[in-house]
Amino acid sequence: MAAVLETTKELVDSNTMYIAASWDEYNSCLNEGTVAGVVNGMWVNGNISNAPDQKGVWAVTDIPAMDIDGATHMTNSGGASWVVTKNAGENADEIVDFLSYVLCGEGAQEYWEYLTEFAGYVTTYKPVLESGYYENVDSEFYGPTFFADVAACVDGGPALNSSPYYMSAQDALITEVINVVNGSDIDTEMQMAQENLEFEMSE
Amino acid sequence: MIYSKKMTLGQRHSLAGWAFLAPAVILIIVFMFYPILQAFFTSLQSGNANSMVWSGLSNYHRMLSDPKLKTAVINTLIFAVWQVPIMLGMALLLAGILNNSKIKFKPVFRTILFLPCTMSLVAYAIVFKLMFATNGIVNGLLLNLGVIDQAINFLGDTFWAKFVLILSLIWRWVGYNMIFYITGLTNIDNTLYEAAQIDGASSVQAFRHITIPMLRPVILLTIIMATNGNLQLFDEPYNLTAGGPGNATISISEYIYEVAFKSVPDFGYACAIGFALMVVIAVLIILQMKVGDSDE
Amino acid sequence: MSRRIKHGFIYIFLIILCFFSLFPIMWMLVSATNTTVDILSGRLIPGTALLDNLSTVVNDYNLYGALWNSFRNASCLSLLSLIICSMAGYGFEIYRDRKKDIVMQIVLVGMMVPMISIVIPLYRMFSEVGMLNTMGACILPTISTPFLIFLFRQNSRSFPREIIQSARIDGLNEIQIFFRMYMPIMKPTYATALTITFMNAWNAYLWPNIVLLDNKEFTMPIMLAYLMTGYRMDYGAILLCVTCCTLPTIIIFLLLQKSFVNGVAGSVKG
Repeated sequence: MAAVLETTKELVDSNTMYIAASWDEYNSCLNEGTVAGVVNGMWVNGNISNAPDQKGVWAVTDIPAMDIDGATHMTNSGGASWVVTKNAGENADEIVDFLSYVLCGEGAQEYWEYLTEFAGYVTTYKPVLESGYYENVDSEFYGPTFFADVAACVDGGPALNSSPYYMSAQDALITEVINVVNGSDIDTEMQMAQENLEFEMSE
Repeated sequence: MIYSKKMTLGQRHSLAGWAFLAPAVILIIVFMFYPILQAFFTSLQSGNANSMVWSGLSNYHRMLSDPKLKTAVINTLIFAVWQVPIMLGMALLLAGILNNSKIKFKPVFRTILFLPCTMSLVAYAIVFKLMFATNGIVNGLLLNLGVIDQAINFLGDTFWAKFVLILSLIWRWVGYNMIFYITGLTNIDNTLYEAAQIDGASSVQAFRHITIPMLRPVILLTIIMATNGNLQLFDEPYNLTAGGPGNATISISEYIYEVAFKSVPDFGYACAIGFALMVVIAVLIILQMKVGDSDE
Repeated sequence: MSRRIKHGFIYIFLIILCFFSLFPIMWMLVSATNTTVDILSGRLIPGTALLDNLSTVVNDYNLYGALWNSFRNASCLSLLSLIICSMAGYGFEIYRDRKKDIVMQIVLVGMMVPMISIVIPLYRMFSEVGMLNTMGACILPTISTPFLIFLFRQNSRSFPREIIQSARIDGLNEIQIFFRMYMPIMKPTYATALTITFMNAWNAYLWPNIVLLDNKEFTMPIMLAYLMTGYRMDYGAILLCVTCCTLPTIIIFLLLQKSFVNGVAGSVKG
């Protein structure tokens, strides 16, 4: 994490990277072409494609791996999830079966093809990736090789273990990054984030 | 029990009085007093919304070691310490100027200076947010005038974000307090000032020895309202900076909202902080009133 | 320093402050007529995009719905609030006795209760009776406020009691006295109370945001906050919405400002 913080600070200080202060500013930078690129989950292609005059100007690539052991060229940051709540009661098992069928079973191909056409999502589920579907599907906004490029970038980054405190953890890390960029000391910030998160997770 | 059908006139009237005030008082009991009681009881529980268990004062104990709460309290104090004096000072100054009978166009100035107070808190927070964005109008003007040569990321900088928030609060509330001071000033007898002038006092001295003491109750009222408002600050930080960047502007109310509705909701803990906040506010109000009354 | 020069400085000072007071509002109005691109490039003069922004706002953002919700909620709240709180102020002051004074003290204690501290219990309360997402839930908690009761009670001190006496002699009952004698005479106070209540109701955010769950029920402030989380930032349209949220309260203030100031004076004197 310390390497991430150092790298981020360097990027921001050298004016290579800009951290938007809020969601609407983030969007506006993408829509108005103020920035040359963005590092985010695949879903951000939806934000970008909202600006008609940006058509055909964007492409996708993988991120540079950090200079430490185990670093990869892609990562997972979670995102949308399907959850089965306690209210499901006796139907819970059936629902779980259905979800398995759709997300990573025999219904997966159809499901992910639909999502790609409808919302531009790309799966990390290997069978669908290897089915060759992404070679053949086009994106009107991004061009014919877009989805193939994204599929090629998926090289099995670390799996994500989700817990209810996922958002809190994310918030703590974001706070760390912002404070370091603003001049705070890296070790202090890492410790504070740890403390904050531990407190939230405690009873 | 046997009721006597004949009540005295006075009793009948008194009863009518109770009837008049009953609806309002009942509403206050149901929607203000009863909830705060419930909040207290909830603060003694912990767990999820649907399955809470009694846990005594554990939530209050938790507050003492909460790093984010500490940040929120420090932020709220910083806002109060900077915003209240500047805002009240300016309001007083403006009221003094606008009470001077020799200045023309007084109603126009007064109206214009009060206009900010008509804006919804959400509305003006959004306007200020967009104005102070990195690609916003303020940066644009500063760049054009050559004051800076690179746009300042006001809302992404932990110092400037606080600055913009305080500035916006002052902008919004000066007019409001100004009106209170103006009406207070119009109640001061002009003969006092004339007498002072005859005695050779300068306008500054007159201000210190006549105006301020006579305005004492109004000044006290505005101080109480301003600190109360600051402690409860929510709409502005929430819509202007969302507590950011990175908790630099999170207020106590915002933190309570987060604990209650974001991530893993903890109603018990949120109620505890809320209840503690109320106690602090109550103590402050009582203290301020005591101080105000004491040196009469 | 000569009086002339001193006054000159004062005027300059006032004009500068007025400029700062007005600038954000003017920028908001001007930007509502510009496109996003123009706004971001720092344009300060009105443009021609007003109709475009208007159509975005009406069609994509449900402006009329939110405006109507705001207007309906604020009006109902103000009407109920004015009647109930003025009756209370009247009851506390005209029929004053020791017991009522004690009750008044207790009511005033209510002013110390911050909204944030009671939103959770209130939410659960309305959830249990199935009233979430309704106008009733939105306005009930704030119909009766200690401040308004206090305002009416203070201003009732200047109400001439002889009118009540002679009305009673004429055979009017207490309710008739309230509606036919008290209300007309106290119009200035009602005007002040209306301004304050309507503006607070229109601008309310914290509680309505928590209790209103459906886009269809959103009031203007909630919709504004919501617009800032969209996927495509159309700043011209957003600022037009902000304008629509602000203009009603500005207009009400401009119309009622004289009585507003007088009403404040009344309560400050007491």
